[in-house]
Amino acid sequence: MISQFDEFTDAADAVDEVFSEPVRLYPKQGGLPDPERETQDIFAVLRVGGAKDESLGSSRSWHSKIMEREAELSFSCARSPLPVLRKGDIVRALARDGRPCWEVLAEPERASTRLVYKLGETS
Amino acid sequence: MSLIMLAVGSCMVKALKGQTLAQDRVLQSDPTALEAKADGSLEAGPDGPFISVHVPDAVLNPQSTEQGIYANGIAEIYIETGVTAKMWHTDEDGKQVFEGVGFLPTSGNMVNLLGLLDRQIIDRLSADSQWADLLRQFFTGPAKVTRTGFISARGQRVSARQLKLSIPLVNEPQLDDLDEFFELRDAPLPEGETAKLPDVPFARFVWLLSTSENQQDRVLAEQIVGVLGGDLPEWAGLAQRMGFTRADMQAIAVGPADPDNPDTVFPDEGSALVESGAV
Repeated sequence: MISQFDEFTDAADAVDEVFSEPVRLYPKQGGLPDPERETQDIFAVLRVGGAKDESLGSSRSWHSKIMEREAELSFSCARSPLPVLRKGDIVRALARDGRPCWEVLAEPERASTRLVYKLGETS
Repeated sequence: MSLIMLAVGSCMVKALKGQTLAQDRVLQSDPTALEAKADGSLEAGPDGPFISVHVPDAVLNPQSTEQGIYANGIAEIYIETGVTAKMWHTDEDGKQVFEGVGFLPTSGNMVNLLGLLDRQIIDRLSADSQWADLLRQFFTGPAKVTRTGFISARGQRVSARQLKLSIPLVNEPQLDDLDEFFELRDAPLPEGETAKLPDVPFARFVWLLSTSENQQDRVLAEQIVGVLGGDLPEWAGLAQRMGFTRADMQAIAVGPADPDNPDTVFPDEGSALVESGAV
């Protein structure tokens, strides 16, 4: 790794150390368990945003609304072994009340210091 | 929202409740159909596909021949359905289950599920059931049907559909539409006998509400009767229903000769118009 990134990597590691929580990763493929990857428990940073009232539907003629909150799971790229998540995988927050679940909505671009996965609510 | 629009919404909800994949998750005019608690830790709101019925608008065209503003014109009825990824529950082994249906949580399945639900909805609204039959009696013509779909994945994967019916409604009910309701209410049948339901649709609607197991239905029935039950003389009821002015009433010689003195009469009370039944 190029030396100029070292301090960023150190910072990412430090963030992980302070904000991480235990999560269980259930690898999925088309809604079924992915036979090629094992369920594993890791520590990662799980950020859940505030609820937003989004309109359902594409025009003003729709009446129902939906409460949505964006969530992200992130960890340092320097971690070894580096966990691999794919779209559709389930993430369970083991230390939170009710052990809620999210699904991976989007895989990140390969970033230099942190991998940030966009999550969607599931239960 | 008029009384007929209210009746249409209620009948629709009752015709659909427990009869489709959405089970009891049939809401009337609930803008927050899908909701979750703020900390994101617990789910709330419907835990499966839902139906939300809205009857917000009706337009009466000015070229209508109806008198007064007791006509409803054409109403827009929105039946929105939705399913979200949150409705699949992950068990401890990571298996994702959806209540009663073996669908995996793929977006294709979410859309297909709403397709099935759409068909169930139109079947239930067209069925020979108590509430669906009553509902259709408030319609006076064919519906224009518009279907729209929606998918999104902002904070969760969502799939939704909207079935919009633009359909002409009957005019607003008047107190005498409730005659059959009052007969049934005021002359209770002997124990064991079931009342014959009123023939007039609105009377039947109020009767069914007033005999419902749901306490809120019974409150609604009482309130409807209260709103309709003004103690007007016949001529005043007629004037009101037809949207007639005092001058109109004078011209057809119906009601008191001097509207401010109800005891005054036209010299030839019982004009030809009244006797012929033209008014």
